[in-house]
Amino acid sequence: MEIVKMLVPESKYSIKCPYEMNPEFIIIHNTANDASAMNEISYMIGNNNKVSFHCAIDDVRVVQGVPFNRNTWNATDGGNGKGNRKGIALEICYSKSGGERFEEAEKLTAEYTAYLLKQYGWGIDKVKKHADFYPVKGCPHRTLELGWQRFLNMVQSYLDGQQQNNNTNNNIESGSDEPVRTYQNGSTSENVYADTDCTKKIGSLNPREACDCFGIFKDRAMVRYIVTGTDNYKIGFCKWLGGVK
Amino acid sequence: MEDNILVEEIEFTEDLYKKSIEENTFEEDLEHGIGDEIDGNS
Repeated sequence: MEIVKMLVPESKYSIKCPYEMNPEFIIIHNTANDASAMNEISYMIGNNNKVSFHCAIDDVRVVQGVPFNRNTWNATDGGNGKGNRKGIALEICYSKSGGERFEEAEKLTAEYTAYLLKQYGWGIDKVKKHADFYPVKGCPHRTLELGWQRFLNMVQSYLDGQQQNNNTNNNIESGSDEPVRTYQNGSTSENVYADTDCTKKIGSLNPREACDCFGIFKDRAMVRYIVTGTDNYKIGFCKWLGGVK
Repeated sequence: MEDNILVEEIEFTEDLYKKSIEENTFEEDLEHGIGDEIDGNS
């Protein structure tokens, strides 16, 4: 899992996050835009609107813009509202148009939500939605359309560690002098990219998934993995080298 | 920290803000998503 921390400068705390906070739960939002997580956080920090949130999450990475020990103006429940003063606000990107990018962003948000729940020792009951604090606003709109319980079930499955896939394929004939190695993924999903600069994401490995590895090229692990639910394979590059066995 | 969580820390710059505006139109949808709710958060 890739996390970028680009935190709001203290000079803007008075606008974006004026109060210290001891978080008590997580609040899920949809952006209703089609911008990447980096652009959402950059825009949030750069403008002078009294609107803020802790993280934006797209299909590739989590971008955090506000520390979790500061409040944000996310829940529309006022200066002393519980949502604004106690919730860690996560925005799922690409909800305006939906589609595959949004589905991947939602999946990564579920995984990150489970990660935070584990960090804080919380259960699934600590996952809230914006509409819980301000029902007039149908947010997270696309997540709600697809089903809120469905999203909670995704989070729960990450909490339970059920997103495990020990997918090994032993029927590989190596076509060179280099033996085919194994890539054993860690405990979070790992992006797979088409390029060693890691700018074009083509898929991801599930937590604990094992696949073939053809070695390390330009500081990236080259992997071949089966696309879940199909008989097709993809070949690409992973950043985390700890998985190369 | 989990084993394959990669954390990168970067500094916010005005150029990133300008880039975000150039690349996207940010809807201020008061019904869904992120909105400029001046009264709602006062």
